[in-house]
Amino acid sequence: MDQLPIALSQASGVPFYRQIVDQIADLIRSGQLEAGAQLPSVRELAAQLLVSLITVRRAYSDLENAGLIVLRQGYGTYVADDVVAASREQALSDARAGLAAAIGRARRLGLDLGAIRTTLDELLTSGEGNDVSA
Amino acid sequence: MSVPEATRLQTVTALESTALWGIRVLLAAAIARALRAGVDRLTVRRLFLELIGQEGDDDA
Repeated sequence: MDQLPIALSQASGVPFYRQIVDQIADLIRSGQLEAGAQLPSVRELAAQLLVSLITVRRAYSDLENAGLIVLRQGYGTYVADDVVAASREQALSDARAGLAAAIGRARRLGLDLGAIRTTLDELLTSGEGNDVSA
Repeated sequence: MSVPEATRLQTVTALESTALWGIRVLLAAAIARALRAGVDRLTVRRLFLELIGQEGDDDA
């Protein structure tokens, strides 16, 4: 099986399992991993990425809970057949979490939410948000 | 307005501006990730309004 194009960064501060989840989810959403495609085994991916089996199991578990992959006992791990709907739900959930983090920080700083809303509208209108690496 | 008061206001304004810029960076990252994942702009805006408690506000 081909290796997945996943690169982990220790400097990012993001846990390895989370980086694996995000990158596999992006591969699925972008269509690079299609519905029904088989993923490497936990052992294979751990060896490829030089991480523990526990890290990959955690990532696969999160992806399964998100409905993006299915674990078929004795057969392997596959991209879910209804991945489009699951991917949409995951994308909305991620978007909500990202916006909530920004709003939460704005509230803690006592900033005017009207100004934050204006900023959001500016970003959405200008397309500036397209070019920022999340 | 006294000079110290003007200075204080300038400091407050500068701090708010810096904080606002930080929030702008967070929002831009959230928008970029959402758009890459296939969420459209209108949905991003709707999610934002829901989160700040302005559901149904659709004047823009």
